Amino acid sequence: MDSLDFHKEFLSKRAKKITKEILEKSSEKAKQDKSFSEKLARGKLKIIILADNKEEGVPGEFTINLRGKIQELGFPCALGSEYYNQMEDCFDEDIETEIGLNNVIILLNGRNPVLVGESKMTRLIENWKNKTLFFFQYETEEELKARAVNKEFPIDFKYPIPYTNLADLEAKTLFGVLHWHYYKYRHRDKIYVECKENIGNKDEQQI
Amino acid sequence: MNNKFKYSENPINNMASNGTFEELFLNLDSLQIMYFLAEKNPNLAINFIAKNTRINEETVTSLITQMIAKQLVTYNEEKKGYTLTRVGLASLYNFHKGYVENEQN
Repeated sequence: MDSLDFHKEFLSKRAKKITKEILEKSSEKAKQDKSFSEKLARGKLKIIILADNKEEGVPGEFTINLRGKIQELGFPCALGSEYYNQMEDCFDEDIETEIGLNNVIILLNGRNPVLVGESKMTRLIENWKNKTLFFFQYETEEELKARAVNKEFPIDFKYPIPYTNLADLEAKTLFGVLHWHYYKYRHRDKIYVECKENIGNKDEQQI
Repeated sequence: MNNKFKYSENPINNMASNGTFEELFLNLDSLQIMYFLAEKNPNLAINFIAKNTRINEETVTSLITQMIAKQLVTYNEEKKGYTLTRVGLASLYNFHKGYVENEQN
């Protein structure tokens, strides 16, 4: 799965203007920057957004915009629908395997947490559950409390995050992604294994 | 005649990889290759990359080997070409935003 139009488009427009002198200066600047390793490491955190876009779920346009904002932060991010479109001749199992290769799964489900197949997958597979940020909607604080008391929310997920409206959902998703990255990077998660060599003392890091 | 690509036909498979992820972004030849791949993606042959970047084929092969080891580049057996991956594009984007963009303006 190698489609990443946002970053490709951004780079292909600028690649022609790159000169050796510019690269020399940039490389020198990078060498002196303490957060160089962390900035590059963002590229290693593969993210996928799975969303229920039907009925009371989040609108499709919102998920596309959200993907763009995550990509702007420097993370490779794809939508579940892209996997299904590009692998339309493949078995569902193969698509699920590909989806499972992502490091973070963002599951946006509105009020219908069991409508889509991926939602079921994220509950069934332990490895998926532990890397899923699950967002669900509520309207009032009273409702949220009542839902917790009455167990009216999916208890399978390690990270269930309630949201009120789309602006709240966007802010919490971006916060969640960045926090995940900083936390995993600081705790030397295996996905950043190549960056370990340059991490040095944790306290010296600018994150 | 079997047209299937043989593993041993790909010269880079037998080369050892070295250099860290970060070092590939501090090496000028490597950066040049990545920018070229980003512009022309996907499925580029080694000799095409070498000719257009004016870096000798041996160096290109060695650097591409290291990029594959770091999951920055993949090889397509059918099309016999190299492609910058999601990770490669996003990491180069981060490098560009952090250090190149200001130099260009």
